[in-house]
Amino acid sequence: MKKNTKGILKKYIIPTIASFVLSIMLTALAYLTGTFLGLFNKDLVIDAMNKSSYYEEVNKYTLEAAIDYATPSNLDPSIFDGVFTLQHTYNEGKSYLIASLDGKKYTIETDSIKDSLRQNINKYISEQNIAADSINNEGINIFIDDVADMYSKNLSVPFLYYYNALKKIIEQIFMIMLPVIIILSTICLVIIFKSNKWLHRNLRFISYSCLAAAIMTSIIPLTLLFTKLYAKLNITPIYFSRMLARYLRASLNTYLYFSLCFFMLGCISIYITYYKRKNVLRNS
Amino acid sequence: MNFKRVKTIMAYFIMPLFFSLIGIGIVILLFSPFLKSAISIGNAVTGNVNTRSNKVYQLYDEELAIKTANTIEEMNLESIELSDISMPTNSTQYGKIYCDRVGFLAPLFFGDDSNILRLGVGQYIGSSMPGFGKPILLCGHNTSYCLPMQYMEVGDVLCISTNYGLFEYTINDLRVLNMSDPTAFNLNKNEEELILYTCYPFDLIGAKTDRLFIYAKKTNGPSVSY
Repeated sequence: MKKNTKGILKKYIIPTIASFVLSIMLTALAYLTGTFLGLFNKDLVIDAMNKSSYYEEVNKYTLEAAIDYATPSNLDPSIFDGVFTLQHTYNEGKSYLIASLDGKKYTIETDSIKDSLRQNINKYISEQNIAADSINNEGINIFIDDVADMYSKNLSVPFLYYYNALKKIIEQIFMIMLPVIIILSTICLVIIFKSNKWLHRNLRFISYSCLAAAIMTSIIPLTLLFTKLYAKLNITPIYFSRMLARYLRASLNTYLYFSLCFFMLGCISIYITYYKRKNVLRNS
Repeated sequence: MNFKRVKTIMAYFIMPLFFSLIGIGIVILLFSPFLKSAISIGNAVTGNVNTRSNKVYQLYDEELAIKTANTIEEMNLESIELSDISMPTNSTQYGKIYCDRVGFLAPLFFGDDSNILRLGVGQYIGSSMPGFGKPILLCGHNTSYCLPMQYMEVGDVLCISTNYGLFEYTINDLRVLNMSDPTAFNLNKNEEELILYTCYPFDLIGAKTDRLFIYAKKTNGPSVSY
């Protein structure tokens, strides 16, 4: 009886515990690596900006705000014709984005915006025959500077500052956790393979770990994708919220790819188990 | 297929599910002290995204406003209950403001963002509403609805019509002050004062740092009991 209990402990209970710990290690590895390769992947941010019509929306939003600002200044909305061009916004926006993602500072160029606006205002004043005593040159300069600041503020992406700060923290966590995960996983694998003399029985526990890791890795991303919580962020302006939603959705897919990898590993392990067991039965 | 085989196949479903449940249980247990805070933060940062940020709401009913004003006058009511008032939310038109002598007429909104100022006169939401016995701070664009303000004088009467009554304010002061002048108004006063301001001068091209402030004391209208 005592030998039987010892046998059950060695063949089933200890490898089950090791298999569970291995599944936790694999899940932790998936979340850490997925965060690194998904959430903090520069290409996903750039892609989200391009595909969410971010630059067009910045122009539109800035134009609306600038027209509102021009109203009490006795200036017609026509002064903004040709001021905010898509080409300029795209070039400056992309340069700013790449520099920020690399942790560098970049000042958005607004001189061309100011020059264009000044030209249009002068043209408007001469066309309307506005008397000199109705013109406040200092006020016009303040107006132009404020509009340029508005444009620069709308084009810059504030979350990139936090992005880089968080990325540094995640990198440090990754550097510490990765060796720990590898060591613990190795220990678990050794325990599993030492518990049974038959390979197919050991591989069963590996497949349990892989399948459990696949489930645990996919739960949070699937919940967020189905409930679409990532698209319900209360962030303004709306174009920024849309860009962030697109970026988060792409990041969540990274975890699902890891989950799929674990699932496939589990299936391969099941197949090898079946094949090995068949061989053992054939030879016995 | 024998029972042992079925057991082996079922184990491929049951064991991973069992591991997952234990794993999730451990995570919930470990993070349970922070779970409530995390859910509160989650609820705060997510919700119904207002995809049409230019939306405004209509609370003001002109027929009801006239009917209420007539009833208050006929019954000589000096106060009305707070429970009889539907309080407006942000971006809601809850009244209209006018001064017949200078042809000033504008819808009155709760809130003062750029979208509201395109459509009428906005009330700063940190100030009070008519009838509540505290200062009311309103603003509008000098090139549209508030253009007639340049003709207002001391003694003119500003009227605010709402669903819960008609309020009259007599202008007692007009001042041109810098937009960041802290002495321009005091919203903590225990006195109902209407403060209406707009950019100044009216016909100057360029950004304006001065504002025309019009101060008016309440001379007619019910008080709200609260």
